[in-house]
Amino acid sequence: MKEAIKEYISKHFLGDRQEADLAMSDDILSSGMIDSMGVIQLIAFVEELTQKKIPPEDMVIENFVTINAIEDYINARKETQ
Amino acid sequence: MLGQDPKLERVYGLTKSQMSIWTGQRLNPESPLYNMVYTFDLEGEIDTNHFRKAFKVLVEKCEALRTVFDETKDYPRQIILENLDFEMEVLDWSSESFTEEHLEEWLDERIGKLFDLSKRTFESILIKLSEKRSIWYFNQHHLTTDARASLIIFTKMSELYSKSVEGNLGEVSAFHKFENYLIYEQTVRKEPEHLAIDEYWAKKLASVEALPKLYEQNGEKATTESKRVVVDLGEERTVNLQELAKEKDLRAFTEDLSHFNIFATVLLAYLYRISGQNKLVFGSPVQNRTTPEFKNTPGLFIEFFPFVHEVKNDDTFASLFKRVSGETFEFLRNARPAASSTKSNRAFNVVLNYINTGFPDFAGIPCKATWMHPNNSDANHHMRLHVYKDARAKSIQLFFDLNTTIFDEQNLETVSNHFLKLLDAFIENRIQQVNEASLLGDSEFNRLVKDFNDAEDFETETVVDMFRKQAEQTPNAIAIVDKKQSFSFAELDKISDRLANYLLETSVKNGDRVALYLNRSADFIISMLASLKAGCAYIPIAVNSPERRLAEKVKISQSSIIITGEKFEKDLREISTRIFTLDKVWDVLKQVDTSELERNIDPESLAYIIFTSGSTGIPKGVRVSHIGLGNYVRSACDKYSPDIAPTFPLFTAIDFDLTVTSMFVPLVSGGSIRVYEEEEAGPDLAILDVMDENEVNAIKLTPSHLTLIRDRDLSNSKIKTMIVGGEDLKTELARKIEESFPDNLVIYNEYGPTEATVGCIVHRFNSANTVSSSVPIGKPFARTMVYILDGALNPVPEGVTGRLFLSGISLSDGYWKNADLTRQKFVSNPFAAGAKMYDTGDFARLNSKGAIEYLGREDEQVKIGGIRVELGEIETALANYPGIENCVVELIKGKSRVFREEILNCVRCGLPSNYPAARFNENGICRLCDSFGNYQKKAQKYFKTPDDLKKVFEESNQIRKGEYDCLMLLSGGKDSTYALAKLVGMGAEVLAFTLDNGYISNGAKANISRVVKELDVDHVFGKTPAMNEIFVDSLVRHKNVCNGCFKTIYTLSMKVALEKDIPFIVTGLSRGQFFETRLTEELFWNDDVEAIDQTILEARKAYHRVDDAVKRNLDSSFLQDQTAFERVRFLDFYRYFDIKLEDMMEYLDDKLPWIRPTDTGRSTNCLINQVGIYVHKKEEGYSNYAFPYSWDVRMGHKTREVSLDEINEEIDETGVKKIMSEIGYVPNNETVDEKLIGYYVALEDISPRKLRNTLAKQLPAYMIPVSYVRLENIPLTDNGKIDRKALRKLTNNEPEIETEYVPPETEFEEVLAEIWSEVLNIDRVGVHEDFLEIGGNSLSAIRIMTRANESFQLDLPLNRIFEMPTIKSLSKSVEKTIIRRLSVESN
Repeated sequence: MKEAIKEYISKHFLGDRQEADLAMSDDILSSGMIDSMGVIQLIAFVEELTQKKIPPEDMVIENFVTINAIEDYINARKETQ
Repeated sequence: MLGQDPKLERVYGLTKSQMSIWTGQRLNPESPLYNMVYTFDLEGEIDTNHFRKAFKVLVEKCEALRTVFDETKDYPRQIILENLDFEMEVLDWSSESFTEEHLEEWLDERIGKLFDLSKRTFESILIKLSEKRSIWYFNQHHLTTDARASLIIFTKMSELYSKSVEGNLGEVSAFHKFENYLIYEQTVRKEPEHLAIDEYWAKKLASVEALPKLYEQNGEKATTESKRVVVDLGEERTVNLQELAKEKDLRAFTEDLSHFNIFATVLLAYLYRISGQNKLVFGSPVQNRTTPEFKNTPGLFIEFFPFVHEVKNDDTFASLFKRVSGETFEFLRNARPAASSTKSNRAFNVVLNYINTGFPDFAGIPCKATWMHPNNSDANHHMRLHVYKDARAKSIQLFFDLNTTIFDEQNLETVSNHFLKLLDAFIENRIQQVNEASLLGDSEFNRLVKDFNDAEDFETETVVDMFRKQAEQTPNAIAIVDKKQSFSFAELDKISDRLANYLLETSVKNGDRVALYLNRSADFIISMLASLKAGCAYIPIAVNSPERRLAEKVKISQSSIIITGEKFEKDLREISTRIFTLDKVWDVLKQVDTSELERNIDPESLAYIIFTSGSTGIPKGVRVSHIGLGNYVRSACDKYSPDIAPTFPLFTAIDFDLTVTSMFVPLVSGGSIRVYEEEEAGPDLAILDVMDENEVNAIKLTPSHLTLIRDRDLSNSKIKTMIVGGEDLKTELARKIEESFPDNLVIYNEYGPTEATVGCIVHRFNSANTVSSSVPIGKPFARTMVYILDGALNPVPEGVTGRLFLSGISLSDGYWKNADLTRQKFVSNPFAAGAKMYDTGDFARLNSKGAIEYLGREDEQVKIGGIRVELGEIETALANYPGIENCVVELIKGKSRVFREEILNCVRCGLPSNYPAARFNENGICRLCDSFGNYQKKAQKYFKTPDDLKKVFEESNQIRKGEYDCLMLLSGGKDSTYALAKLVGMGAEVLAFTLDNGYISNGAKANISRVVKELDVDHVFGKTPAMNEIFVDSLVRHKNVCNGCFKTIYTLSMKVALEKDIPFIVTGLSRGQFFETRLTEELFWNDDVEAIDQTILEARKAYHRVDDAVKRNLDSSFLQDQTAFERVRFLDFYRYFDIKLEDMMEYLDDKLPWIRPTDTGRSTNCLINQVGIYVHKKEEGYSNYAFPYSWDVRMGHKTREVSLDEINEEIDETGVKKIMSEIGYVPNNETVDEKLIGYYVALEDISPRKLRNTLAKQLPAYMIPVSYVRLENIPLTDNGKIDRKALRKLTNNEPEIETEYVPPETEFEEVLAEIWSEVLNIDRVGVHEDFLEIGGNSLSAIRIMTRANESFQLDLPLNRIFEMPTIKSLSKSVEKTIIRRLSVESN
């Protein structure tokens, strides 16, 4: 899961930078790595990956700030269902 | 042509965004609206050679710069050139003494440079200002760039320059290719996912109701001109915003997103506040740079999408923000490349563009980048807000690009001021309600709230004091004249003193209320003055008031006495209040000593109580004090009669506060009152007597009165001052009235509810300056405060609609004995401590000329004839009727004649059943066909032979003076062409005359010139510059264009004939047209054909006298000479010739070079004819040809089938609308009738008459619904409110809304009613029904007048019925004539 997200981010947002530079605990939002439109793309990607819509109330920084956080969020959603 | 080697060119279509820009540029080829211009101010040494070199390489490396555009078969395409030669210009100003102004001037001019897009889409110039400073001017057409692209190019240029200086120019890498995006856009369009996205936007677009009107400007005529207002938010505000974006409830994934949401929220709040609309939309560009590659590709990527959102009235900034954040997500999710469309690009007039950019240093040289505005932008973008965030700057900048057709120079700043007020309100306290935040700056607030109002205070005299002073100054001047008597000022003063004294001695005490139940008369004025002098308040009650209302007013006001006249006593039998009959005391009064009468009246005391309609069913009494009354009357005198002593008619209801003006203004200014008594029954038409007598020079009246006199010739009226009040005055009506009166008439439009004492805002009408459809109501009276406020009682900015509140000295202190309602409507004035202000419930706005415009009401209060009516009051009364479970009353605007769904056509002639008064027998044959059989033979006598015509010419030839035998009216159509040929064939010398109305088709003109050449006759065209006005007038009056054209033809041709001594004018009217306009059964009653001709001649004379656009615009003075109609006579060709259509066509084909035009529809000559048919069908429901064609069929000249085909033909609406706009005809909705309709729920139908009769006991006549509809249920909206729209629809399907039926009373009325109903074929005709409204026309006019003259042995002119269009008025005219005759005979 994490790797798929990492690959997506590397491909779409890193540009010239190497995938290896991206750590699972890097702040991908406030670092400017991903812009507003990028977040929307990322959310759409996660939705596709999990085959689930993300409700508006879950679209908060905490859930998307790092690749780790995204995975935690996805796992947490699985458990609650 | 484009490149040297076509093989090296790559050609593509345009992206969605490019297409939109291409179209915008094509529509405005001369506007530099898409110039994206940057200036880079370089503070350091620039080597111009290296700069040039670097730029040359930049062009080589950048596809976007080498892209050009051209068009093939209307399809634009872009061509990426392999090579583009460009030598960049360098301007060296370093040796000149440079000034900033010089640079600005240069920029100002340069920025407007247009591109030849097929050659190059950019320009680049380096201006060397000094050794240490240069400006790089870089202008790219938007087709190939956007904000991000500019940064990319700048960065590359910086790198290239550095490398060039270093000597390593070859090292710089190429750009990504824009071509890749072009290919990408093509592919995403085809992805299946795209469908769902398209659907999303289609839904969004469907939810856009109306674009917000910015300060109420509709922007229909917007050009591309626009101005940029730059506002720097400043460091402090910027920091505050940044901090705010970190707050939990405002935080988003990125700071930019959070900022965007804040600005979107404030923009929506702003639009909501200045447009008053809840559902709003703005457009916002999305970057579309979805991959790292695209992020670094020069070219146009951005694409606009509509951001649709609703602001709720109780939204706080925080609650609005929350929903906006959610909307932004959806917006961005669906804003995919290529998902926009022409439609989505046109779905907004406001743009929010959030730009986060940051131009770094240029090759190590400090650089200041400025994005310039080319003073133009898309015409449909009335306002663009760019939030410009430069990463290197400490503060955010806002660029407001404002369309200058929408915003005056002086309003430009207003926009940014208002926006900042709301932004600051958001920053300061986001849990405040959006509609409570103040919008206005201090100076604007002062201007609107303080300076606009004249609060100057001074002592006001009472009207009694003013009157007494006047009586001392002009004791012998006549103060009042009524039917029986007249009083000088001294007499009036004396007798009212005596009556006051007598009242105090016998009946009342100071502070009491006195009801006045009197007709309009000197008695009423005396009683009113006496009541006031006795220190009492008067309560006027008109004598035709319904019993219950009369009783309520007396009871509620707790009047001590009712002053009345002997003949009205009978109405007061049921009332227990003491009655004081004036007629019984006149003698006693002579003995009254008035020396003891107290002269001082407390200005705070009550002067009168006037009742207005109350929604609860009980009228509410408005208390008006002496101060209020005195102030109004003084202000009105100053305004309306500063120099002359005015004579006012007293002709409006005494219990209508409008009448106060007509009574007191003359009494305190030395003028006089002329009394016009009310009729005992029926509507009050005293206005007509006022106009007929022409004895007054000032008048106070309502727009409804004006509509009664609008068509009269009032060019001799003595009225100089006209004060219009009571309801909305339409500009068109005011213009019309101004035209019909002498030039020195001054019209004042006065506004004021009873609660603010008659009038408190006034505007002097100026036709030339009025652009609104209603006349503005203007500026406040002295000592009156007027506020236009929003829902939270904040003043609204200029131009914005708000609720009108009134305050000041003339304000009533509330309702009599109704503290609750008083509290509700008279609220604390937030702008003046301790004062109250009255909530009028009216909408208004301040226009750019500083005048208030009235814009209607918010509640269900309506005005009928200027009188306020609460529909609730009528509903209460109706609901009390036994059996009615629920009801609603509506004022319906619309034609009284309703078109039925199914139309039958007479089986013989094809006349449609919706032709007025068409009646069919059981065999489906119309009355006309039916009765035609009875006089068809007789009618034959009217027709003659070709030989007869020959004889006429031969006879006249003997005495002919001029060159011609006759003038033939040649329209170019088939009938007149045939007639012309035959006349020539008879050997007559003919002058052919054609009116060139501007719409004669080319085909018809060609026919005319061929035919007159072939026949060798002289031909002239008649013309008038007033043709369009005549068309419009004809469309308004007759719902066709032909009437106007015909009259123009007759007038112009008469003139020609008279000048050239031509004895005859020959018309090509068809036999059908004879019957349509003049031949009637009655004319054949006696066998005297001569008399028929005489009657027709009289009708013709009357016709020329009608005051219409033709009469006003064409010289027709020669027609006043009575011999004119003897010197030139009219001959109708087809009276002498009888020919069938097919024979005529055959003749035209064989003998003449006449070709049926193909460009005119059914008409054979005229293009505008279609407009007439269209309007007639639309407004009357049937073709204006229906009737004449039915005669053509009856006469055997046409078959029923051909006629039906023609009258039912579809009309090309686009062509018609185009002509309408050319001639300036606006389909007029203002003259439509307004009728009260009662809807009720009951088990079974209730007779309308019973309902009317019952209501008549409680309500005045104007409040009684004319029509009733029984419903199963009252339709409700989703919110549970009454669905008034649905009710209106229901009404359209209901047949006939009748005018209230008033039966004939006198013998004259009875005879006339019988004639009317016979001629018009209506079962019964009420005496107040309007002749034209119930289907009368010139034909029925002749018939009715012929019969009337016969019945009464009179010879009234045939057009009298047009002047006296009701049975009531006509019978009066008959009566008068008979009396006059009798008196002449008896003498």
